[in-house]
Amino acid sequence: MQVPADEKTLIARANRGEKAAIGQLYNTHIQAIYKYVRYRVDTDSLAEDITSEVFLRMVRELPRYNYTGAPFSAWLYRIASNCITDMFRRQRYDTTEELPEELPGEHVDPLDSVAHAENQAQLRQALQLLPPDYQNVLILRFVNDMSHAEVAAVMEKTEGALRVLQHRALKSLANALQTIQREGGEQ
Amino acid sequence: MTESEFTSNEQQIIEQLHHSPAPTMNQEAVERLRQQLFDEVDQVWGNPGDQLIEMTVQHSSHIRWLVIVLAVILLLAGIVLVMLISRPGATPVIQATATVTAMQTSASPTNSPLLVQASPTAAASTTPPATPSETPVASLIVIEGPVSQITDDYIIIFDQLIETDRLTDVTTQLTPGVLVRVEGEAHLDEHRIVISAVQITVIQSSDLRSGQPGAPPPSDSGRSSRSSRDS
Repeated sequence: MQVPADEKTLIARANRGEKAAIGQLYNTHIQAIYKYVRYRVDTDSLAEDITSEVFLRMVRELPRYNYTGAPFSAWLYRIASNCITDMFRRQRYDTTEELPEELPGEHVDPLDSVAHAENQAQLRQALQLLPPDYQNVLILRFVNDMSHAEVAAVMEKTEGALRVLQHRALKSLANALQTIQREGGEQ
Repeated sequence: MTESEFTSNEQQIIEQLHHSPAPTMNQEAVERLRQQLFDEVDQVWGNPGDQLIEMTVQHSSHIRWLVIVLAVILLLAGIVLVMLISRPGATPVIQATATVTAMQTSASPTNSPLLVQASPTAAASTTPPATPSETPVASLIVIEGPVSQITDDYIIIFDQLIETDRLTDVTTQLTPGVLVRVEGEAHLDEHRIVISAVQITVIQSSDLRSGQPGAPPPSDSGRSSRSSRDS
């Protein structure tokens, strides 16, 4: 797992409360964290709230943060995952009952847009039916394009365990997607 | 396990996930959060300006407490001082001591029958009266030595005038040279200390002074004026 050489220095400066260093960490990770959170929750505003909470917690916990050689992002994703869990607990959020709103899409061919949107909506719906661990591994690996080692660091698992988890998660997602598509076809 | 080991269905899902839309936080929200973050940094670490103000406030608070403590100490000291000054037991005290030591040596080659070493010392210390109207109280003084002169109302020992008008019955028995112990009250008469004898005790009769080293020690009967009076 490669950690940028200057990340350690940056973290040390942030650890002392240097705004410039904290600002730099924020700039580096804000969009990736937001993307991860946005895939785990249904609305933009909720994703923004949780992302805010993630970085505020980061600032509060920084004085106690010990650099262990793991990427800083792993720590941030863990905070994000905890924030989402807390949010679900607090709001008794039931992901199985609410259909997610449409994610802002990249530019797609207008001819394919309807089919693409439908596919994406079903994919997100199926994704949110999965247990949190399965969601985490699939989003971090295939949406956020993180390596096995990075995801293993975030989820505090060995790479072997992560690969097994990823395999199961993909199978579950495939099953969930088939179910949704079948139900959609029947209607 | 590599991605090539996935089934085609799984591979299709992975592709779909890879090409899923990448939501981004809008710039306004990013800037708003950045400001929130920096405010939080100030709260967690405190900014230097705040620290300076806090330090100044703390110091002024310490100084205020110091002033209060000093004021309380001064107040207590004042109260104690007033209590001491106004204490009713503060009466004038006159302490006067006089020591006369008489020593008889054994027979010496010079055949000096009696060597009297007398070192009359008198020390008087007075504590200033709390109020000027109070009269000084005489204290008891003791003087021992040979009687050098005798008059009707006085005897003189080591040039010290001693009033004996209250003890005329004893003084009639005294003769010059008799070693006596006088207990009396000292008081100032103009610039001179005068002792009014209260009790006179004959310590040694005059025959010792006349050069008889083998003379018997004074009997108990002759020791006190009271005994003399009784006899």
